[in-house]
Amino acid sequence: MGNPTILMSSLTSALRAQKLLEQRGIYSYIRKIANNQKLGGCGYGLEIQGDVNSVLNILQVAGIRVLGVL
Amino acid sequence: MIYFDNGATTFPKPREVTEAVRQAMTRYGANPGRSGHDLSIQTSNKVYQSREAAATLFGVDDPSEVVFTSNCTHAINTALKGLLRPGDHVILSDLEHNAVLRPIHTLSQNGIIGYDIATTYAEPRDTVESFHRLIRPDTRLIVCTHGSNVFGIRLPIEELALLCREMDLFFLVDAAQTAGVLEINAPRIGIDFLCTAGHKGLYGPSGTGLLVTALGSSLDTLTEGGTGSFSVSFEQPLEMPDRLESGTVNTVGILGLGAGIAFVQQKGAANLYRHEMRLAQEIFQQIKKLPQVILYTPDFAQGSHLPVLSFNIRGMASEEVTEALSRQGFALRGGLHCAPLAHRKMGTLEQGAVRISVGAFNTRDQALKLCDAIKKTCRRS
Repeated sequence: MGNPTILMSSLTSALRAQKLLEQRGIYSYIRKIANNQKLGGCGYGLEIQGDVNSVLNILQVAGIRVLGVL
Repeated sequence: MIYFDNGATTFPKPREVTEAVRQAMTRYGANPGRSGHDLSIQTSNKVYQSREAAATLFGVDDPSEVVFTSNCTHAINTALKGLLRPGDHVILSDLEHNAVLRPIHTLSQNGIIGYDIATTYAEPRDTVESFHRLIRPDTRLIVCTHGSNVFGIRLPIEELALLCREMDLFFLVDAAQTAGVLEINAPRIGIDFLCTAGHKGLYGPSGTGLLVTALGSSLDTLTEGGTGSFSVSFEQPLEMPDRLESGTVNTVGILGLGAGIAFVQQKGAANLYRHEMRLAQEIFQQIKKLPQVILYTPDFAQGSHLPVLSFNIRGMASEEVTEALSRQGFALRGGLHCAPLAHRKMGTLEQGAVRISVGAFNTRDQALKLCDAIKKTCRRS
């Protein structure tokens, strides 16, 4: 099983989240996601190395909307 | 050619802007926000850096509240037509550019909204009172230029924002002439819609503009289309900035604009303002001594004015003056400056006005040479 990917509502959100996580020392990689139901089509996800729950918590505190986790 | 037409667009652009534009053409050539390959993500990242730079400049925490537009007019139209509903009433100032006046007048002509024009005064309190008097139960929005593009008069947007908060009105500011010259913290001031050009005081390429708003998701859209997100849906996404940025963005312009904003931040808007005002004030004092010259404000002070100054020479049309100055190697704008309200206020609707607008790269030597050229032109009048 690969690293978890957080589904983001827009590429701008993904870039914002990536920068925020980088400041916390968490590496992430932006991936294009093809036709996912939670994304309402294609969109972008943030593949992370680290604990997904703590990452989701960081994003929630920053007010960055997440659409799901793959 | 000595360039004093920075109010139309700044020139020259900083070297960093030229370099960023070159890189956009040669290195970051992919479509941002559409594909998943590395070059597309790298290009998206560069676009995001420009968005982040604009957010920081205007005191906004979330870069998704920054919308790239093609110019200030586009930003204003996006906000006005996205916000206003049938039956709304709008108040604008008597110094507005056609970028504000025309869309509002068109909405009014189409029977959608009503509007009134507030008189502005030298005393900020009087200006605020003038707006206050025009507020009606159906008033929804106050629109105001931060500074006149013709006469350099600065308007009290902080006080007007306060009035809007008290009266529960939206507040739109046209900062075409002030972004990059005056410090603007949009949330702290209480600006709901900050509209500006990218190619003036922010030193980006032409074809760039910005709309900064936390209310983007609630606006109706002027343009719908591909956003690279929610692509199965027939509906335009609510997500910002996608909602207001349909179609491929102007990567070349946006990367150049990011470099322009970095230039402004490195120099400091306050320093740029002081430098430009010193030159504009020196020109004002010099040409004030010429009996043939007509000026339109009794003084020209730091704080109350922008480095934008208009004048006329008795017996000459404004375009004749700019033509004579062009022949002497100076670039200035004459005519009506797309601001009929401002010209009506100052009595220059027929003659127009000759506008001197100072930029970061103008020097004292250039300002003195311009004064000499105006003196020579006066002798011919």
